[in-house]
Amino acid sequence: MEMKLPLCPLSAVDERINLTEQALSLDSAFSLIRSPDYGAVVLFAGTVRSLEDGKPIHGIIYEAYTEMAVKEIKKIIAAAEARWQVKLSVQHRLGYVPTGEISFLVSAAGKHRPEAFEACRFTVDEAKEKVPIWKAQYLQEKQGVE
Amino acid sequence: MSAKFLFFAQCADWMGRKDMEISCPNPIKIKELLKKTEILSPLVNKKDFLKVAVNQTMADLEKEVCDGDEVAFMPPFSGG
Repeated sequence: MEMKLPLCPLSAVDERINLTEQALSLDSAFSLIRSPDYGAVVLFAGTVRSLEDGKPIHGIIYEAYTEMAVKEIKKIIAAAEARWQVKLSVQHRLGYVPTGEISFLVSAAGKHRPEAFEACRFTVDEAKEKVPIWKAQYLQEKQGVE
Repeated sequence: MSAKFLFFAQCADWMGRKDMEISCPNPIKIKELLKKTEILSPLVNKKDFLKVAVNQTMADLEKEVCDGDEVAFMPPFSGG
C-alpha cells in the first residue's frame, strides 16, 4: 500500500503565532500554513509608514503584554478557523521597527479564495481590536524620540 | 492579600513604573481600589480611557481583585 506523505505538515497553533523582535518574513508566513489541502493563500502585511500625523518618522517602537496577546491571538485563530475552515498564522514584530518594514503579518490558507480573504480580513480586524499591543513611541526623523 | 499590577505603554508613563505589588483588602473592586489607593491616582482621571485585564482576561472596573491576581492597566490597543 502506497503511503502518502503531506508536502508540508501543518504546524500546531503555537508555532503559527509569533511575537518577535526579529524581522518578519513573508516566506515564513506562507510556509507556516501552506498545505496541499488548500488552494488559496492570502497574506496581509502591515508596514510602518514614513509619516505619522504629517511628521516624518524613521520607526516605531512596539510593546506588548505578551502572555495575554498570545492568548487573545489563539482565541481569534480558533474562531476564524472554526468559521471558515481555514488555517491561519499571526505574527507581530515588537521593539523597534524601522519605516517600511513589516510590523504585522497575517496569513490565511483556505480551500478557495473567498474564505481565505474573509478569514484574513477578520483576523486582522480582530487582532487590532483585541490583542494588547501598542505603538509605544514614534521616532521622528532628525528630532530624536517624540 | 496582595496583587501584582502591570502598567503598559502610556499607563507606564503616567505611573512612572511598569509594575508593582499592592496590598489590599480582599475582595475589592478595581474601581474601589483606584479610589482608595493613592499610588494609583495618576490613573483615576483616565478611567474612561483605560482597559483593564485580570489574569490576562479583559475585565471592567466592577471586577474584584483577589490575592495573587495579576491586574493590567492598558491604553487602547494600537498594534498593526
